[in-house]
Amino acid sequence: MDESLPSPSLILHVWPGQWGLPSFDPLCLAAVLYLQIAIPGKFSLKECSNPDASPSGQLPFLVHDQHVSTSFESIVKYVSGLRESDYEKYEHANLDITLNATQRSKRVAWFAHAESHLADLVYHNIYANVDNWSNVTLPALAAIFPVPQKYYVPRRMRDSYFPRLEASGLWKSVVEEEKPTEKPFPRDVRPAEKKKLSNDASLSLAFDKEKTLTRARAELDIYAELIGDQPYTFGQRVSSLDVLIAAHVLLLIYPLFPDTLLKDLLIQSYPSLVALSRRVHAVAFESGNPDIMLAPAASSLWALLPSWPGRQKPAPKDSNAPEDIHYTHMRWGFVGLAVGSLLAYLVLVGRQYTVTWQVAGAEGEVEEEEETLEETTA
Amino acid sequence: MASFFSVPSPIVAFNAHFPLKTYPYIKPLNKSPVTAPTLWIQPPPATSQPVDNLLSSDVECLKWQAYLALRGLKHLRLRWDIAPEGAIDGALPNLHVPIAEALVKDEKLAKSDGAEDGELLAAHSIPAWVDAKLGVDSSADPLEGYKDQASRVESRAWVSLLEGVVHAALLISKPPPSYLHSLLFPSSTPPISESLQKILSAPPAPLTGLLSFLPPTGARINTASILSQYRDAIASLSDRLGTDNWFLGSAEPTPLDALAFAYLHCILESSDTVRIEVTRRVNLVAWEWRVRCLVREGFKQ
Repeated sequence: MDESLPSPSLILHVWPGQWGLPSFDPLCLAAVLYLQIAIPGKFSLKECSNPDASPSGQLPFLVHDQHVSTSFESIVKYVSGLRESDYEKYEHANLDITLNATQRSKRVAWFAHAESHLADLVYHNIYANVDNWSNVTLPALAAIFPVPQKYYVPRRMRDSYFPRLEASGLWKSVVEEEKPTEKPFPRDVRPAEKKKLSNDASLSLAFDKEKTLTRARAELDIYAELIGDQPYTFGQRVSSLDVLIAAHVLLLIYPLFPDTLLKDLLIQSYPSLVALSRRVHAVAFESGNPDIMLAPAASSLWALLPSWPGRQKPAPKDSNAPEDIHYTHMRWGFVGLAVGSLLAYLVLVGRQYTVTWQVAGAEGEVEEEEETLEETTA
Repeated sequence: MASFFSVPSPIVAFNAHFPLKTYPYIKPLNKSPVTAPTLWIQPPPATSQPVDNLLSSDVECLKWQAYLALRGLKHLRLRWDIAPEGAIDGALPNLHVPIAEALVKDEKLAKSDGAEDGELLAAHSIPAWVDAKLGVDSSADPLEGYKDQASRVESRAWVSLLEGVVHAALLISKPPPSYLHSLLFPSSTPPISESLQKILSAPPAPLTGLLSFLPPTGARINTASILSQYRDAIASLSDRLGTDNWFLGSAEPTPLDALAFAYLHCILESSDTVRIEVTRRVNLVAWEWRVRCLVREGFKQ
């Protein structure tokens, strides 16, 4: 049934899916949700574990024939713009069509806030939290990458989030762990030393948890007030801002992390946010066509070398256009004409010449094959 | 007990050749006692007009200048001869107040030895000082000066928009200093890529590629996407301001107005790529001009 349908030319490249969600990165997940709500069945999803293949070095990115959009905002803009270019095919592509000018400007501001503050909470949960990192995230990331990369790339990814989370106070730079002091002379009797507060790792961890909780409450209060009692942020219809918020909240509640601090906080104290995210998830995945998956990209050792940006293979051309066929015919015709004229020349000129070759050791001459090369005097 | 152990006389006679001399106390040359609250800021741009421009070239310093002026304080002094390393936490602005107006009110402190030096406040203590000086309590107002609760919540979003995309666009529009200049005058500020890593929503990929064997260095900054987001940000800022006096329809100036003014002023002083977006919006230009006159009033000598 599907073989007759042409594969969609809109391809979205995202980080691979984890924990029951299409992608583990909040912006990638938001892009998948947006496309699934706006243009279900008209795009295909490609799980990509090589962000260097993207023109900007980051995922998600969208390829539509010759056009490439990187970053979530430009993907939203491009897909919304498809409605103007091709109304019949992409009628519902613009989720923000019902917003007025003030709401549109508020949406831009809230995009910035969600991408910095909510995302900080998500990245803290996934990368900064030591329990979550070592028990869940690291094995999941290592499974995505092929053999040489799986040993160093997850660590690199984690380190890339460090400056941002440290600046916002969600990642303590040094976790002092108590080393067991080895006494050089075990028989010496020393008075017991008082444990210093600053060196007590468990105490500092407890303070950090309090800090994270306070910080998370402050951020989530803002979103709870923004949503209020309405089903969605801007009224009764889902908009791109709802998709973005839902993507972050889903990544806080779906994954099964050992440290459930933020998940419990959300489920117990912010039911409106959880309800919004589940609503958006339902709209995306429980109605309409399922998305079409492409085969995963083959891993290769060439990915180890630094790649030039922008080296992307051009999309395979389908030669159904009549001009292409005409062009191909003319090209082959020209080649045929050149070869034919060469052969004709050889035949015409070669009448004066005869080719002789003597087969060494062949007694029984085959008369037809033997020719003698003689120059006939003209 | 002291008479039991006395220094033997030959040693006393020897030490008498090397008498101990005490010199008088040397006062620092250019220190003058602080008489009025002085804000330490980064210097105003050298090429700005008019020549007696008192507004700083740094966004953070200008934001606090605007905050002080918009809260109604007058006759504040400025000084810009102090390097950032000399300020609290290594960051300007700082507010230097005479001891009589200090946050810490203590009689003994007022009479102690260094009292004429006054007190130096970091940037985060400035609101508390202003409250004490004006005799108001800002924390008593749950709406923080905004029109209603929805505006108060929305102001957070606008703050993060300004400090995110607009700040990133300002950073990338500054022309980098030449190599010779950076050798001769090493700058104390971190390189742009480090600041951008903290601001941008997704961390920029390293120049050598995330998956390559080479250790990650540098950052691939997608200038086109930052500028496109910046254009959207300025358009939405202009739409939201409309014809209001203050942002979000507030009756009085709020900290969001101080921040917006600081960014708009710095954009208008910077290069053409970012400047042109703001000059296209007439309401933003007019608003910035009006607030600039107000801020200058507060610092007129």
